Amino acid sequence: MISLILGSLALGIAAGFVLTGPVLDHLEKMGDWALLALVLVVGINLGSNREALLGIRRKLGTLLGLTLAVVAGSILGTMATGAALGLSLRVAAAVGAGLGWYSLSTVIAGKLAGPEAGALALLANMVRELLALILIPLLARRLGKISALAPGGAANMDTTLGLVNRVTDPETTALSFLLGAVLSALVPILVPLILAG
Amino acid sequence: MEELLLALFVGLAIGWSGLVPELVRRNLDRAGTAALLLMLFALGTRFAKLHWTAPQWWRMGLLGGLMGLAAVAGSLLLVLLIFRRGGGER
Repeated sequence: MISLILGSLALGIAAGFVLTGPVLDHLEKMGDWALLALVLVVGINLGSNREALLGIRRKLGTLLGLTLAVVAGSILGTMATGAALGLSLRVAAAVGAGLGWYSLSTVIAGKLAGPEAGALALLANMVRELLALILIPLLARRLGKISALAPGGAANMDTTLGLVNRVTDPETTALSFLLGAVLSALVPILVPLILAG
Repeated sequence: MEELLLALFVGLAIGWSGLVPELVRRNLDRAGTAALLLMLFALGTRFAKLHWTAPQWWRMGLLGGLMGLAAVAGSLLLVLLIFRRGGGER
């Protein structure tokens, strides 16, 4: 999947050098519609998974604590780094609010705050996912199963789920999926909210 | 932004209602992937307009790496603060 994502971006960059004016405008419009279609699909997928949504009730306390910690920790972490490096705090916060979902946060940040913000969201959230894959086994062993859910962010419901399943237990794996689902639903809300605020 | 929220909640309602035909449900992931790739292609065309030099890309890479690391560190710190103090869900 990652090669498809990078390939599409690379093709787009190449096309950006070759194509001109009206064609690029049409492409941008198509990109906007595609973003709406993607968010609609995410909603349908989440809504269709009734068991996961109802399961949230049984683990509400833990899930709420994890959600708050991951969202606040991500945003505060990137804001602190952004402040130290002289970046716009709003853009830094939006990058953190991508919660590891690099494709969607890249597109939203790129659309609302310009291509530089999009590039930053892409790189930061890709690094986050890579770090998660490296850290999860280590964290589960050294700091406890719950801590293994911190780095993945939204990827807890897909990319890192298999790894969580291997290094923790079924209960933590179910929690990982629920956390990923909640965080995935928050990305298309938080990133635009921060950039519009 | 309003359109995004509307799309998300309409999607949630459609999914929850169970009205999505099996054929559509089976192909949702493909549709989502196609939409994603199209968006990234369109975004790529915008990246081309940046005209960044190699050092500028390196700088962005470094910034992105640091911010990714900070997001992980921040999340982990708060998770440990909340759950270890609250009885250690180890």
